[in-house]
Amino acid sequence: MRGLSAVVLLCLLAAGCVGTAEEAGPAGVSSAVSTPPSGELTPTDVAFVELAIPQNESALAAAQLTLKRSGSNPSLLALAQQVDSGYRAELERLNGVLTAAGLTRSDQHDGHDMPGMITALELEALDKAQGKAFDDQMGAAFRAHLQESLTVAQSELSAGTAKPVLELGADIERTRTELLGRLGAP
Amino acid sequence: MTHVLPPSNFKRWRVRIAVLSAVVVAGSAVTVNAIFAATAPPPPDLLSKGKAVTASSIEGGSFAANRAVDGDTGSRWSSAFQDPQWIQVDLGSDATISKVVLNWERAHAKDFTLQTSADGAKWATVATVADSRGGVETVDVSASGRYVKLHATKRSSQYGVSLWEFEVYGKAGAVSGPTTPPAPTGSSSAAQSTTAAPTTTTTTTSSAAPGTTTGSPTVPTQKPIPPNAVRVAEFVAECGFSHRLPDDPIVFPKLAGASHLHTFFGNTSTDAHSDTDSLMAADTKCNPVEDKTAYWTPTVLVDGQPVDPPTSTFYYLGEGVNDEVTKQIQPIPPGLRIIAGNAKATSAEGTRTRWDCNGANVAPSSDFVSCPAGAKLQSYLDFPQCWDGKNLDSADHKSHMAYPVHPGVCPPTHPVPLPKIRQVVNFPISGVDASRIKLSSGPGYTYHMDFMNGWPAAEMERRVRDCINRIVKCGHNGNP
Repeated sequence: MRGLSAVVLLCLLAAGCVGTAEEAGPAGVSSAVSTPPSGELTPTDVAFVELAIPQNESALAAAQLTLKRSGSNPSLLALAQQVDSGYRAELERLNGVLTAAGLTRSDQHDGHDMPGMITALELEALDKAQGKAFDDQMGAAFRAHLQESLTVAQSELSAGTAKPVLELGADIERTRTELLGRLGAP
Repeated sequence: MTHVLPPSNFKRWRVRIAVLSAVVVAGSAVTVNAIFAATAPPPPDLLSKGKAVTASSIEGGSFAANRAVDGDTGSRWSSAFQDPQWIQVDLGSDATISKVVLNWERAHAKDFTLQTSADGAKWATVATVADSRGGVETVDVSASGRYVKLHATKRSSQYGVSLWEFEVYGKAGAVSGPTTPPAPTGSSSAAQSTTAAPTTTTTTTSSAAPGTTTGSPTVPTQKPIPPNAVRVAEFVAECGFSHRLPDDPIVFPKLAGASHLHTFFGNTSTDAHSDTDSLMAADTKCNPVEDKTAYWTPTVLVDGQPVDPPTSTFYYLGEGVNDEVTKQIQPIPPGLRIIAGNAKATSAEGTRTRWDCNGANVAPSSDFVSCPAGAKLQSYLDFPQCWDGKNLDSADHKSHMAYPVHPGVCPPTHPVPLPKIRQVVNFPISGVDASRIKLSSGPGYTYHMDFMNGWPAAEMERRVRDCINRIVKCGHNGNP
């Protein structure tokens, strides 16, 4: 089971086009750092997309692990199901935004222990938990992820500029609010 | 065995030896001193305590040179980990010097000389010690001068040389028959220190053994450098803790709350929305107040609770490149962002952060260490100092900067040498097992420090020109 989640992460990384920094077209000194690195995306838009991708991937791996536990709490299973399908579609859109802007995804946050990420290490620990303990811990991990994802989406909505990214931000804000409601209070 | 060897051409010493020749045991300084005590009743005074002191280098902010003359045997000066090193004290006025007591830390000098000077520029070797065993070492001398220098040529270990106390004993005041050149007066003082020694006629009366002076690099003239200036390319900013936020204006610009928790130093306004203009318009907790730079690290947590250090010290250094490159170092451009360390390191390997304890001998580590009660957890981290000359930031926030390459030069891809920023942070964490300490970014080896330049261009330029390019140690005010 532990091996499985690692495989899931690896596959996601491979599919996520790990790219190099140089391709992002750094700004010249004279034009300062606030210049959009490429296309119509501002640094804020790019930072949001590049954070949302690994956040989604980590939650997707957690959803996969949950779905393997057929004995889990039905509401947790339903949440995992919703994450599994919804996040895959979001990831396509997120990666599509970068591609459209001529950017290759940077791997700067992959595997990084950041708020909103359910890390491989956490998944390993979750994999060892059984019964109610698993449900409680996985529920807490999803809640932390959803709250951070919501925070970042709201920041993008207030500071971002590119239309497709703002649309993603709005969808993420809506779905995370809904998923948090489904998960209920801790 | 410690061998104390007075220089053979030491006239004053020889005169006294001659007077006492019948009873002096060759090489036994203690015997000589005992006889002096009997014939010259007043015991020597401790002349060095609390006096101005400078050194070739320091291991970090908590090992400042003045710790060796503070009368506190619990604090110490410790040098960088290389040979040679020196420490010198300015007694404030000319004095007769009868002994020097060296209270060594375990990392001591194996071979060293003691030198005196009237002006801080020309030095006479008054004792040569080979194969020292450290401990508390008393070296009896018969010398005079205002400045006393310990010049360590060989260390006892891979660490630097370190002194709990550096004590100079003797009698203050004018001395008859000086054994070191008299101090030049007035404006000639500064000029003399920057010109070649052979032009000074007083050297003919000096008792200095040939070839024993410490080779301070010759400096281009124009701006006077004080005679006692320390020839280390450095200026410094000490920046107080300001606040915590889960923001990162470099990695997540304008994305409030997107980051792990950061501890901010210096600029008091730093948040996700910060840019150069907002920093320059805000207040700072830095000394000097001209430095409005935003500096931040992941927050250190003990048992999950944030523990913030009161300040962080930032040394802007000319080291890391060879002296020729140091003279070419350029001011850090306005708007430059730099990140040192790796927030997503997955192991201690290859990380540049060093953790150790200020006040205890604990082996430095890339990860947290357990510091005993009374010793503080301390971090060191050097920023990359070679700039690509074009970009103030880059998509991965690293590619526009690089570390120097052999032989102390900037690589062709990053040809512009900038001052190296070294951060030293002391955390109020003592007697805490390392297993209880975490960073908001993960284990100790994920430590990093971010820099968003907030120096006014003119202030930066002045400091680089006067301190770094000339290889002169400057204080917070950017003056030698």
